[in-house]
Amino acid sequence: MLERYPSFSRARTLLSGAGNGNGRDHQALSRTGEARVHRSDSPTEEAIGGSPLKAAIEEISSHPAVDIVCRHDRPARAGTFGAWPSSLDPRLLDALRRRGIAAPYEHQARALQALEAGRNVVLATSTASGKSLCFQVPLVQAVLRDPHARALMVFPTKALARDQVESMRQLTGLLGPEGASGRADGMGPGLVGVATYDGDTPPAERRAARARAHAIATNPDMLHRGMLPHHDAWGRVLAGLRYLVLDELHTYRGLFGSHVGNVLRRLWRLCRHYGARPQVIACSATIAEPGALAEALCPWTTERSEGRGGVEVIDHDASPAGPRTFFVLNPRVVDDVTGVRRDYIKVTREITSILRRARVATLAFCRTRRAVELLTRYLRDDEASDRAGRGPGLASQAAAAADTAIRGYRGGYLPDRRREIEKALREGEARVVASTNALELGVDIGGMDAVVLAGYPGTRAASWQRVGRAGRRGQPSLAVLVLSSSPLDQFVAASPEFLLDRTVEQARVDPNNPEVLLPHVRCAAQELPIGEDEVLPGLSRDDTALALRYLEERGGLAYEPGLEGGLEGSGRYVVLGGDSVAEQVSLRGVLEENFSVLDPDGEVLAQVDFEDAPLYLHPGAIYPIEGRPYEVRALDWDGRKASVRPVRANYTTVAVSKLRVRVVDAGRGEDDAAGSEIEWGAGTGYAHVVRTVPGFKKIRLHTHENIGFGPVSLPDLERHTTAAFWGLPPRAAAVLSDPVQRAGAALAAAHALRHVAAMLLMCEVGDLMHAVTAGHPGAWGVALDALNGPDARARLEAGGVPHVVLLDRNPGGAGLAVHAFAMGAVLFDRVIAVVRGCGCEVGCPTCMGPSSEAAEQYGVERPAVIAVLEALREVAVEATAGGPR
Amino acid sequence: MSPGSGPGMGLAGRLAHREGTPRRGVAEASVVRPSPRRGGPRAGYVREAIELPVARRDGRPAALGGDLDALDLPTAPALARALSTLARMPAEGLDPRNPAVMLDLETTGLLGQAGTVACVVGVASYVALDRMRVEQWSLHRVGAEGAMLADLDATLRARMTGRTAFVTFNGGSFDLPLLRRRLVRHGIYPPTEDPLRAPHVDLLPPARRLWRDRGPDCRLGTLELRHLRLPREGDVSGAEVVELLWRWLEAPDPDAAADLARVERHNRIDVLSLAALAEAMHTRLLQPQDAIERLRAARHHDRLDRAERALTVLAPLLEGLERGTARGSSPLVEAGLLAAEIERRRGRPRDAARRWAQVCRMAPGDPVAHDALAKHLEHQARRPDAALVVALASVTPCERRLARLRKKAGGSTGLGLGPLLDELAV
Repeated sequence: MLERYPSFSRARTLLSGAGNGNGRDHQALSRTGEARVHRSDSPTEEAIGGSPLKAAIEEISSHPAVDIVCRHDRPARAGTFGAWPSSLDPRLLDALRRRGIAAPYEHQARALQALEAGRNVVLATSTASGKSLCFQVPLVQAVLRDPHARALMVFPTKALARDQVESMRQLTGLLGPEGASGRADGMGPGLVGVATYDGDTPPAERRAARARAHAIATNPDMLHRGMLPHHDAWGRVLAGLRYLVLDELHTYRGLFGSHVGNVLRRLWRLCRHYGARPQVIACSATIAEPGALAEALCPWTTERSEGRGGVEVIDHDASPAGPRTFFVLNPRVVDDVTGVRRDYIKVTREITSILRRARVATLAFCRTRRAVELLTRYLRDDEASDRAGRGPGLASQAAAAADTAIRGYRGGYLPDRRREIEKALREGEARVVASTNALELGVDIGGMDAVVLAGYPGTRAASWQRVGRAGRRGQPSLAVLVLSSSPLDQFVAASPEFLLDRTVEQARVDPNNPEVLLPHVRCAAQELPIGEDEVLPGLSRDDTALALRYLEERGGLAYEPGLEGGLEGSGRYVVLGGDSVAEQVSLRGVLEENFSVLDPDGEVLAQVDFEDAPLYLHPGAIYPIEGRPYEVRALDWDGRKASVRPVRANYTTVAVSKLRVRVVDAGRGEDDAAGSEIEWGAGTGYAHVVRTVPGFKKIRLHTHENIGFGPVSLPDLERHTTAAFWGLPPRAAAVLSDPVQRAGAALAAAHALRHVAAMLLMCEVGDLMHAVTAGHPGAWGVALDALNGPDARARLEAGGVPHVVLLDRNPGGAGLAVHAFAMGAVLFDRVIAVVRGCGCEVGCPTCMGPSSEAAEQYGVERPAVIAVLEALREVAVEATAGGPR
Repeated sequence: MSPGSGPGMGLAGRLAHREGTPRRGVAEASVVRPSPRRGGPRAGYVREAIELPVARRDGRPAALGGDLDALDLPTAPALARALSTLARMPAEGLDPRNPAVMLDLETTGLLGQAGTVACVVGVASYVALDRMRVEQWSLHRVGAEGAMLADLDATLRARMTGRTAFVTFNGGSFDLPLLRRRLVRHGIYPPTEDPLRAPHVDLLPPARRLWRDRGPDCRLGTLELRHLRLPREGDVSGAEVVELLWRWLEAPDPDAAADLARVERHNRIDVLSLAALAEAMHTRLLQPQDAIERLRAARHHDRLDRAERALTVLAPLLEGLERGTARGSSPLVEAGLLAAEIERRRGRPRDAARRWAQVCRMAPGDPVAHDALAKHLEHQARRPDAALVVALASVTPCERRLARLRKKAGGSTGLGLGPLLDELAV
């Protein structure tokens, strides 16, 4: 029952009051959602957490700056419990009891039963439902039963792996008699060794992990590069492998997921080699069809023999949940004539400040790193002035207190800073944290009373994932979505049922995409020669043979016929060459080194991705860290270093970027690129994408007015990838006589094309890019993408014949755009059906994308978009008439 | 469409389609080589063996090449003896009839990277007290590595008793771990077992102990030239080996076969010169050629807990120290300090003190010796006045010790350092 749960703040007070290391135990519990340790506390505590939140909810409901689009109240839900499997080791039962877990939730019990029966399990329950327990218990049980048993736990990030190792060591530390001494080998306490193995692990610990750890936490990149190529050193682990844990399964989607699928294929092959058949335990956030994703990533899980195998999806959440109020807010219109709304960041600031003043633990999710910095700065200012106004004390003290209570969190911060912020959140020292999606995954930050989303995160799955951060421990909670004025957000405002009623998106992967598959087949052949009769996991016999022969014909593999009188009679495929193939394959398509941000003493303050450096680290840029402004004084491009100094600036900077796209005919190769520009029409080819940053704007804080401009002179960001393009034929251009409208319609068509192509190609929308070029894309024309409208518009007015370009985002290309081109009419029929079938009036973000910004600017309506798509369909049909090129 | 079904085109179609598409393949395009012919060499690897007498006067087969003609190899008992000088031995000692298997690997990578394959393996062992046999495996195809290593493993097990050691050069960190991993990789051993369990004498650590900084480097070829007077004509370097082996495995044409033959010869010389080097090192460790080598040899013996042998080797230096003629001679001082340390450790404080006093006499103010001697005089001999005199003479006296000793000694003692040291040094 809800009222039986003490408030989270109460739990915090109790723990910090104890002050003798209890806080540590408490941390360990927080991620697995075992609040049950305090279950017997007095029921009267509810009011402590409930009433400030209630007051805040009332204040938000009547806030003058917003319209309430909808309010959704989810009632409290009581948890239901199951029983431990009867075979559970008494030592483990005892450890669980000492950790405060007397009985598993029903979904946990079901998972444990399914695993006991030899099935593979996919858990897709909410954020704090105790998913980790569903792999920790079977792992420990397996090791207690057989000390040679091993488990591999794969997490998408190092931080998550580290958190889980901590959490699991808390459990294994309770095995055996109370007060027993810990292991002397750095594997954590108890009978079961737990270790991380990733890029940060020092050599001595790596050896220890290989030799002695029972459960090893790692990430896909390390598995790919560090473990599988050296599988002989991991033979003991692979031979004993009982469980393969895939946490945050939903992150393995799109191109990255397809790579991970191939890494798992290789892992499975080596497991077979060493005689192991591990069961898979996958944990996912709420996505549509999590079981199908698991099966696509690990196709062998569907195999059944003697009642074992097969995938059991567990998505019924039996953990208790407190009541949750969810608001969707739209900033009020400030100018009735233009329809301009209040700035959503400022509104987010006001809403978050209500929660801040109510001393409610709040996480504010922003869509961009820039927004995180801005919001952190504003909230700290507010907190400092509140404190200064409240009582005596120096302004500097108030500012320092504000810096402690309000934190920013995003990628690019150094790991130490991130750890420190996570700890401050867990221990209640930080009350409000503005964050990007970096905190969306299961990083251990304890429970939040409220979550504010600054802008619609882009998908329903991501929205619910973030909302799920609120309301752990059965407490009442609040989630607020503040919509921006972007078309997609305004679409949500117009149709909130889009968010609430429809199912979440599914995650797509395509591990058999040849561009992804083939490099991994080479990695596999280097790991162990591939016999000509071998069937690679997840491929058919025919497809395996096909891939092997394809690589052999092109020199990627060498074929060696069978040995006479040797051990094996059949031939085999091998890799010739001593360099590690895996080293040359990047799972995340990242090939360039990061930039380091250095303070005047040469200390590294932050890291910036290579691609983002020209945008954020040009000389003169204001680079904020947790809202504190630093000015970039110099950028050492080749050294990948930016020197900054702290400044007092009342402005921030925004870089201006321009995109150019050139496509060179595939057939003619790149050597004679200069003279081989493509004629009008459609085709595929190498794309040369160039992003230029000509300058930056200075934007005053608070008012957001433009107060200056500066030039930027940095190398262009060039990317070579592959592309498909379709030009608007003259007859269609004649029908759509206004060139501006034509360009706008083409941009909307390109957007729809990209989204539908991603769906058909089983990739992420983010794996593709789209653009519209003025004229055929062989010229060094300016490309129109969603970001740089006005400048391209001028060019388009002159250009006249828009070409829709679809590009692979991955450097080098991933075969996606080219495959989309090959689909021809199939693709366009689907796009047209989506645009035509949408229930909206003249075009919405679903059917026309955020480029209905173009709709605003250019007055584009759906009929024009459909006309463009139908014309392009004809072009596509003609271009693919001769079958695959 | 469900996530598992792929985008509606079979792999065949997608590969055919890929033909027309441009690629800047990251991994795939980086290695474009002609595939080797199908039906190349009929066996995946070749194994050859030669036998030879250890002494050169008995006539050697020409197959060895000219380089080794000038070389005497140790007999089996001689090698057993030599190895026991070089490293710690199992309690039961080595089999004097079959003391060792000399092992050397030529691989396609020197850093153990993912693509490293064991390509040429040489093994030298004794067929009689004065006859050796060199067996050599050469890989002709990458895919035959497993078969080759299985044969190698079976051969090693046939050649070795429980009292046969591996002799390698840097095998502790390279050859043996690599071979063990490859044996596991190819399923010849289950990962739970530890292949190739036998005593192991790696010649590199003692060679470094003996000759570090006393020559261009401590590579096997260099040591052969300097200490065995064995020049290698037309030899290949380690980096070249990697290159030649890949050439051979990728395109086994006659040119590449000639290169392989060069690597094989290099490997044969390696395994045989290992035995010769072991014996040469044994000789030098017992009869060092100069003072520095003597000192280093003594350190080696000391490291293997052979105190008597270390002191015996040091004896000529210690005599010089006792005579006290060559003032400030560094090897003599070092020898004295080492001898003192050995004596102290085996519980002979008076002998240790004697050595320290001799050092103090020869190297006035030497902080180590004065310190140690003062400590001895204070705590063991209980002569605080003498300890004070000695401690005061150090170039870096310890103030706390001085204060304590002054208190204990109770003022000036009138003792002279010279007479004191003379007294203690006998």
